Amino acid sequence: MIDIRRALLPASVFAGVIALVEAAVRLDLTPATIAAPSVVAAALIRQWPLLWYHLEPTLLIAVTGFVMALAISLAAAALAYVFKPIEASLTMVGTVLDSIPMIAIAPVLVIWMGLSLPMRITIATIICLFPIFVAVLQGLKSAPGTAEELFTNLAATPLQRFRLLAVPYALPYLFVGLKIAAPLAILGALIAEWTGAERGLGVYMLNAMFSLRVIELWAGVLVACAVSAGGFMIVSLFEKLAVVDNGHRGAGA
Amino acid sequence: MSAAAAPRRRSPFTGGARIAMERVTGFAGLILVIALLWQGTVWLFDIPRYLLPAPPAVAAAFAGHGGAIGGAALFTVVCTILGMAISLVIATLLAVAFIASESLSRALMPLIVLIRTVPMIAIAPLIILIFGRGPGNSIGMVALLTFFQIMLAAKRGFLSPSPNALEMMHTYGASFWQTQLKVRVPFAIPYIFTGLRIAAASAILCAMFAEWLSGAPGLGRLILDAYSTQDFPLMWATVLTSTFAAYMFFTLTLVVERVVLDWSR
Amino acid sequence: MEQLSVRDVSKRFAIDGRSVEVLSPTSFSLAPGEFGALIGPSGCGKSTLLRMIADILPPSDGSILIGGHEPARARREHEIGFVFQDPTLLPWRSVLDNVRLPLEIVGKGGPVSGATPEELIQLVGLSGFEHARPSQLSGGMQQRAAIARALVLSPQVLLLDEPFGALDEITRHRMNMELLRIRAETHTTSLMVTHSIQEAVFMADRVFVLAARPGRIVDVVEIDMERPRKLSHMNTPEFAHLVERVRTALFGDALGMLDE
Repeated sequence: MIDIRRALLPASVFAGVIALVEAAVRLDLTPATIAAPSVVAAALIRQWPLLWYHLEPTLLIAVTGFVMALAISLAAAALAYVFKPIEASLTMVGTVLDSIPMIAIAPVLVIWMGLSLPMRITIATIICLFPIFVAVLQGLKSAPGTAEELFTNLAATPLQRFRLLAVPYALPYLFVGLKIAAPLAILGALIAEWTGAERGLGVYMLNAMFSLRVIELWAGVLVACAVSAGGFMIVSLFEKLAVVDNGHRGAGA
Repeated sequence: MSAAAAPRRRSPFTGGARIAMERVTGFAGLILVIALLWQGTVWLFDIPRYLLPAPPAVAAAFAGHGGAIGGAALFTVVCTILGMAISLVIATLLAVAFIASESLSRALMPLIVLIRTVPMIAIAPLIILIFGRGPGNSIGMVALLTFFQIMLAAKRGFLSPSPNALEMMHTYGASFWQTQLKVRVPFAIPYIFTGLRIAAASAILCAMFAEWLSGAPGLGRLILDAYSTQDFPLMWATVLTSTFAAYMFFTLTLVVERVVLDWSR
Repeated sequence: MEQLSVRDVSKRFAIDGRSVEVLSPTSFSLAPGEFGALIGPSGCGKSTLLRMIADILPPSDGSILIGGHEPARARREHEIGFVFQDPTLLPWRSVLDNVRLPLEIVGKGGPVSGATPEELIQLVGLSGFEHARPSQLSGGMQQRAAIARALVLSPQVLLLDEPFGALDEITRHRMNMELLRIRAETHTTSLMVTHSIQEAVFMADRVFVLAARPGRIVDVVEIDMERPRKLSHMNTPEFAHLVERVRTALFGDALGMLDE
């Protein structure tokens, strides 16, 4: 999967940067807000039980939000594909929702649902909705014109057209959307916790920020990045398993 | 060729001005429609005032707090522009460096792609810690967020000239920098503008988010303050302003692109 | 009885707010088992005409009858096979599954008689490639699979839209022979749109020559050559004469100008 030789150069650059930062901190060349990588790594290991205590609810929110967004988007995109008039309205609603800053939607959700777990899951869901919806809809419509004509010639029903033509062509696009949405789900969970929560990675990070605990903040950020990248890679793995040989490109990277 | 009356030289700004006019009137029209729908929904479903204030209340908030909103908007917009300017310069230079050195590209690109999988906003607390509570963190976050989009767009643009075009420059004995300036840059400009446009859409929201979290005196903090004092008309007035600001920012990129294109014609 | 009857069929499109007549009232017909070729410059409406016969586009005026039925009914009853310029095979399906696609769509109510997908794959010369993916096949092989797919429901009429236009000349000659051989087995009435004068004369019983702006038939050339056609026929003076006739009809007055 990953070409070892090609990964060698950037990996060594990365290691080099880490080493440089470590040296710079040791030599007191950096501001107080940069923590030494070795110290951060040690803190990560030492504080792992605490970090996991906070990571658990964050992962719960992220995964639940992601799955819900997937389900809603699939249903909405399927409807938009079959019933053309709905497509325009759904797209408009989605665009408007996407352009209202989450910091404005969050307070409304708090008023509506209180500082609760459902509120936080809703935030994560909302953030993931539009990217998945747009990607799936684009994919459903991505079949070549002659393929659509073929299905007309074969007098296929709308359901057959959807099942046999649109869905397979939509798969690569679906995964592009999912790869964008996976890190967004983590982000949504963090924002949800910053809006109001007692426990969670976002809470951990915010507390570290306010009390100027630099090392802890770096550790928290590292965990957030790792989880984000991890989600991305899990989706990529699913993509490799699912999209066996679609033979066509064009869904983008 | 038949003699035709020389066309009047139009200022390169007319095209841009026209785009701006169309976009503003379009937005105004949209706001009108939304205001009517909003009022209708509130009236029809009898939505409590604290959840969704009616348009007249929001308008009153504009009137009453115009100064505060204007000041906050100015802060946010300026931070965003500075952040994007910084990231534009660095991103373009880095893209040129990647074109010049294949090994540099191979060394750094995978890292950049990896970093890109992490939403920048997730590391906002770290940025705030490093840059402090002032404008620095808004600028820093915008720069970080937009950097990747602009750099990737610029790189794609620099790579877009066909091999034939580059071979042609080579046969004329053009130096590296001549090739860059004469061929790659003109080809890259539309791509860079596309990158700017995509980045602009989220840049302002990103700056507002940094303010929300850190307390810097921009639209983000104003929304938070309005919410904490339960002044919902003000909160929605600020949200509206931010949407308008994001829209105008996007428009700005369209206008600048048109002006640049008309100027070079 | 005519298998395919086109009577005063025309097509207008709205382009930039104006109504443009792409095809002026056109009439022709094909007897059962006949092979017709439509040839003409770009914009003469030949692909549009084909799609109107296939009920993919509605005609603006006129009537089309396929085996006595209107195109909509003929399409629903799967009387029309269509081969596109692009093979249009579904990339995730094997060759066999692609040829089976029409049967899946029709469901239980499919044709009881007629060749099975496996037999058709053999007929088009793709034996052994049943489980290959389209990406593993050459352009010519993909088109053969597309032809098999078009024939699996035993249609009354086979419509082909420049099926070999994307192939190189050598492959094109070979595919021409293949198509004629397949047709010799199935006797399907066929109408093919082509850009190549040689191909039209080689394949068809009658060549309908169209002109553009507006699209219309300017000549019908009867190809009286014996069947089965062989590539050696292309060297005969009879062939050259027929090609000349089609070429004259295509270029009209311009032919004289080109010689100057």
